[in-house]
Amino acid sequence: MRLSRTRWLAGLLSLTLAACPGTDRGPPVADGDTGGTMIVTVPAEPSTLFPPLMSGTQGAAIVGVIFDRLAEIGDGLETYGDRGFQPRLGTSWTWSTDSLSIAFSLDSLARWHDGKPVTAEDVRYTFRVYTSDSLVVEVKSLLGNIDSVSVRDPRTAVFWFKRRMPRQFYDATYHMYVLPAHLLDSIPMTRLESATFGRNPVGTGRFRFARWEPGQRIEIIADTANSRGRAKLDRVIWSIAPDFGASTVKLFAGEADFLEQLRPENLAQVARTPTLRLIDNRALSYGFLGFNLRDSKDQTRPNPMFADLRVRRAMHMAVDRERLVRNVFDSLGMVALAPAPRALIPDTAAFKQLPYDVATARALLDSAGWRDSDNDGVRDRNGLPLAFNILIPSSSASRQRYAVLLQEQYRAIGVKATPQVLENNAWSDAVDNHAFDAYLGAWQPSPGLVGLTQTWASRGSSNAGRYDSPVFDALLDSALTTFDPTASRRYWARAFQQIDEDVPAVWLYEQRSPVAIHRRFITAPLRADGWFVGLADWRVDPAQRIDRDRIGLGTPP
Amino acid sequence: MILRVLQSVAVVFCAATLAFVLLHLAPGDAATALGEGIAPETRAAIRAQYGLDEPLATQYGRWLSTLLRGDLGYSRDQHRPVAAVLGDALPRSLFLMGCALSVSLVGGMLIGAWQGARAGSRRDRTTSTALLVLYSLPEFWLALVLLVVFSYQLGWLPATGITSETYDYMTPGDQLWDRLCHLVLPLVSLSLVGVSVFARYQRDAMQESMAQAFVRTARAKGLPEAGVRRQAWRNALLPVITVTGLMLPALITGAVFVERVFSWPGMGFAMIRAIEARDYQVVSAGVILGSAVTAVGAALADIARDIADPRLRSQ
Repeated sequence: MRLSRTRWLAGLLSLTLAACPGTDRGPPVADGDTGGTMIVTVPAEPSTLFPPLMSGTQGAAIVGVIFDRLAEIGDGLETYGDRGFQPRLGTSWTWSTDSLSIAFSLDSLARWHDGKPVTAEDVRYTFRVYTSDSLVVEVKSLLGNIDSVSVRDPRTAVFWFKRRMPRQFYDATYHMYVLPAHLLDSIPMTRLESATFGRNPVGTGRFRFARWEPGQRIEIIADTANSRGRAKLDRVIWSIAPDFGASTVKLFAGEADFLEQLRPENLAQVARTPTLRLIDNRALSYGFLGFNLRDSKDQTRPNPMFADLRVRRAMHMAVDRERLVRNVFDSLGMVALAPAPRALIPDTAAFKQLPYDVATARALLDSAGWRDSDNDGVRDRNGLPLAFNILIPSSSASRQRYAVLLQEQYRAIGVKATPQVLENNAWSDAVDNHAFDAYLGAWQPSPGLVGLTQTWASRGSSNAGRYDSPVFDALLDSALTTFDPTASRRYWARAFQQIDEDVPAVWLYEQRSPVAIHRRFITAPLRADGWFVGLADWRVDPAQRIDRDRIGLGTPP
Repeated sequence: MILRVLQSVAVVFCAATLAFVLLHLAPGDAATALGEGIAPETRAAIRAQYGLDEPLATQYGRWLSTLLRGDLGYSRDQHRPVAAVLGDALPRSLFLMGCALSVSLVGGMLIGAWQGARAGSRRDRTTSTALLVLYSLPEFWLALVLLVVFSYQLGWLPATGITSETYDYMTPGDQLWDRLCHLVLPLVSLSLVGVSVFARYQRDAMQESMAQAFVRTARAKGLPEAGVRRQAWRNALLPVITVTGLMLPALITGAVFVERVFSWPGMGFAMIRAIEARDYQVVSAGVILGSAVTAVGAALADIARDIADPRLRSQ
């Protein structure tokens, strides 16, 4: 078939137009540093992508790259003042002389993904949403020191604080992603939860939302018009595979490029797979065996076993924590020193830990009156055996292994500990209602350790074991409120030393969570509070591109 | 017929009520399902917002009145109407189950009829043993084996999902091929057991039918053997049709596990997620739909039996 001359010319013209930069005849083509598709396999689908209601790691990753904060915390996760913070939507900020307000100047080039400029009204609206009584926002309690946000001019938002606090800049920036008022303001607060925005979000990040196929995948693509430069990858797709086995098959079969939550048994397999590599990821979490210091059946009475400090100390000293970590996590774990991961604890070298000393543990139990009077292998006192259940959530294989090992170690000192695996909801229910003697828990504290008051202070609502130490509370308050960083470090060290000596829990492990990724990706070191923070700068080695890296940006959805 | 419909409605209603009550009686609720690290006051606020702190009877009454207005409710876990959740999941499950039922039915009838015509022969015995082994295999185990062999070891077929992640960027031809490739493993997992079930019923019915007097008469009249078997097969259809109706609940149950293994985002997938999240409205609506599908399946099987055997219509 011959084409007419006119058709040839038309074809040549359209090809030329498509090749010209700046024309909108077709999508930008992957070139040099940019381009590539990354597929992340995840075990669960986020509930929503509306930042105030987002929960879970999958939602956090997607929201974290679609939306921006006013300023981004530094890699050192320093929360004192504004040290280490990097400009984002706020290009600069000015403190008032009394430090009770901070004025953020917004990036004049910043645009929402629908093209509208970012204004100070967006910041004010964001604060209104995050603190609204009509929504259940997890971080609302962390914004309590912010009195209000006002608009000085369209490019300047001012945060007003109730009290001068060392972490007020962190409070104003870390917990909130800025929302588009022009898209949401007309929706009543009570309806925001069900608004379509949660499934079709519009942000300002270097990636923008592309599509969400329910139950299958969520796709984001590079925002080519972003004032901070387009993301280097063309797209990232979160592929949902709730079965962990299927997730790993996807990874090893090359259908996926990235798996975050690897299990220790998969590491050798990753090492044997030439296309994959591991990246170290210091997760900000710690695991512990928590004791209930109050009677699980009558909260007004002390726990007949664990109210006694000697018993708790014996329980701590009977556990060879180093061996347990090696057994469960091999090289991917380390012994926790306190109720916080090392990355967030100042001056860990100064900590004195209770030693592993079975003989002393036995002696402590003897001195507390717990002896094996009937020679059945279990100590007892006044007819009550030293026996308890350790509650474990069914979703955590590592904690189940820990419970079995603890059972063996406690058997050696005449204590009967019985692992009791509960379905996750039943486990949460029991822990929240203090209906336990001991449980294996894990916390993921945020930078600045501001949540420690919630989890371990006597007034903390998440203090499941009812640990109550006025000394610890006072040290915690001092550490969080002093403006002198050196003094703060000193308070933290003393607070941790105090709680270590009081043993409301046995601090068991900190986990390293290396991620598996295809070798063709060139990445930055992962930030401990979120691997996705630098995702926009990840790229594909041009020499190693595979078919899906050559798609280009495709047809915009 | 009207009585049959009323019976079905009553069954569906009872099943949904039972699901609603049982799920509420299970430990935890939508607030505990948020996971670890959630402050008790946040959980309390969630309970207050969704009325989870109210007595069970009040919650049930509210659910029922909403349901009677034709509203399936709101999914707290997915932040969208239940109708939208099921609207996404149901067609995918029906498609998978429809394909699985068709393959099971056709495959089972062919194998069973072939066996029944040769009942007692060595080939029949060998095939029966193979089918028995197949019948004993749990579907989720079979699914995992298929996944490991064909996706991981051989790399021939995709591991999960309905389509590939880059489906939207494929040509229409590639998209069709991609869909077919993703269908193979879930379909085989669900169908293999179904084939063995249908084959066993068809074989027995065919064997019985081949021993009937009309078959001897047909042979005596000189009808070709193929014609004789066709007549005998028609006579042997009734048990298979009955089993088809009964197979629907079993297929739905099997689909729950298979959908989970292959991340097929259908009803099973949605129900497991809803149960884990204590998303009561989705679970109740899912049970209503599942019961309705079963009831409709049983009714269709009755109609098919009437067509296959006119004697039943006159009864």
